[in-house]
Amino acid sequence: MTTSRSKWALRLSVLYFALSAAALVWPIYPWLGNRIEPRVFGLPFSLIWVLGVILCNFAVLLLLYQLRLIDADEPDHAGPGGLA
Amino acid sequence: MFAYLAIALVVGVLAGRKGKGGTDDFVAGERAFGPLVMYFVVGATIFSAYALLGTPQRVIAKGSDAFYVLAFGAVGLVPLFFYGARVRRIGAREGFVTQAELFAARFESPSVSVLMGSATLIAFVPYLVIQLKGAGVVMHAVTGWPEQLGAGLVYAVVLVYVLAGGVRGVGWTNVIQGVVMLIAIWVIGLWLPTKLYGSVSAMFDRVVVEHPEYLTLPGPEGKTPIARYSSEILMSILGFAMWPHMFMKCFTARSARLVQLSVVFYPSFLFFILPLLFLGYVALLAGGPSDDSVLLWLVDLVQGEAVHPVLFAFLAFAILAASMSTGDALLHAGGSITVRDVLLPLESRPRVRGLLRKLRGGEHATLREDDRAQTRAMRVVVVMLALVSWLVLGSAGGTSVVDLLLLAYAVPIQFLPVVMFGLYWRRANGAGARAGLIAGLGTIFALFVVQKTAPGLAAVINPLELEIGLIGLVANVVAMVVFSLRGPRPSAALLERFEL
Repeated sequence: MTTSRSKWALRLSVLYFALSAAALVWPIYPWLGNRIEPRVFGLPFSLIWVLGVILCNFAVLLLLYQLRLIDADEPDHAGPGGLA
Repeated sequence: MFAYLAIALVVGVLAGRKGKGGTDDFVAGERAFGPLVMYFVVGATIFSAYALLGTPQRVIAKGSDAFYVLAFGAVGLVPLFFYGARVRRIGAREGFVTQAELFAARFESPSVSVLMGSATLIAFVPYLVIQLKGAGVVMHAVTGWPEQLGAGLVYAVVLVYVLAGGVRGVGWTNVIQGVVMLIAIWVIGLWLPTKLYGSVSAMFDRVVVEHPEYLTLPGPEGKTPIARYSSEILMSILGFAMWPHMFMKCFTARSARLVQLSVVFYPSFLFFILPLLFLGYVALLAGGPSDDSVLLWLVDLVQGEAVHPVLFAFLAFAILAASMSTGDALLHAGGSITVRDVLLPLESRPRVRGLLRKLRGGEHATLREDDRAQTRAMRVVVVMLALVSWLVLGSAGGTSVVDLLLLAYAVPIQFLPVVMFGLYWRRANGAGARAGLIAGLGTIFALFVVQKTAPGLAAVINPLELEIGLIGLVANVVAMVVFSLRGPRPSAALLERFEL
């Protein structure tokens, strides 16, 4: 569980999610995201920016899950009662 | 409408009959929720009537400030991905079913559990009142009954399936309610802008021309300064995964991997906020009202068309589903928390034991020893909680509930130090946890009272108008670190149980 691989994955992913939270608030959001143009699919960019962050977070979470990087050294479907 | 209520009832009761019926089952469903149920339980309990009625309303009132829900949802549940699997494992091994139970054991301190449990109950009531109000608004629109009567009827149904089914009842009805809600909102959210303006994109073209200030911060009349928006988002991100009814979802999953999987797919529920935002802009262009009736007002825009009654029914279902799926989870969690986290630890004191015995009428085994009695006590609390919320709905009207919500949202963030230090800091101990909780909760209650009774004094204490939860959090962390370092080191055996 505490292989160096998963340790690094943990550090990097926590850093990533801290950054993604920062992208939604001051100062990054007003600097980059808080504008109408360019419109994407007709939606204002301020909305696209937030949706983009959600999509990126989804992709990263899916990757972490698939590669079993975070605290996941156990079977996919334990029976009722889990490891007991 | 009534058929829908009947279906929810039948499914909830039937699902409940599958279990063995002990407390562990009533609270944690024998830890057997599969992927589909988990997905909707996590999603539907978050998307409350408040999100549904409040999001379009927020667009009209404050413009792009309404993106707030998307922004905090993008990160809010992520902490659960990191600690959820471990919490699931510890819970299964040690037999924990509530958040406070886990941390009372980790800190070897029943008072931690009593503090967390009582604060949670205080936070739940206004949250429940909002859900009841949502149900009342719909029933009023459909039947013309007063809000309180309609809400009473809907929640009578909710009560029956929560009481009969426990967490299983909650789980399977959430699946139905989630599906209804997702379909209804997407259909209406895409159809209405297309019908009125040609397409969603064309609608935004008009917003850009007529009301560009509604598309970026600080919004119309500069109502939402970016600093205020940022602090709200940070508060919500930090507090979101700490809500006890969210945290308890870790215990109900079939496996630890499943907890993580439901966090991965959670954003798909966020995309359901999108059509609500579209609807908000439709209402803005069409000059809709800026209160919580706006969603139903929108449907009346196409009055006279053949689809009108269908749309109206869809929307009514969606709001009802949202209200019920959040309300049932809150009621269920509230019952479990009161009995397991507050009553059981207090029972070890002789005076409380005597009082409980009197209440239950004569000589009985203690609640701790009598599993059936625990489940019964939970049912009593669930009914009382629903009743109190219903009475508050009737007596308070709108404004004081919103005030109370301010306090409610400041509570879960006070659990952050206990949860994070408890799971990740070996040195954290009971003295620290108690001090932190008392300091944090004490601060928010004191500030809340000062704000309500002496606004002048509040302005002196808190000149920047920071969120009271944030101020409480600072006091909380400082107290917890200082007292943990001064107190004894937790034993190695204890740390091992909690995988530290």
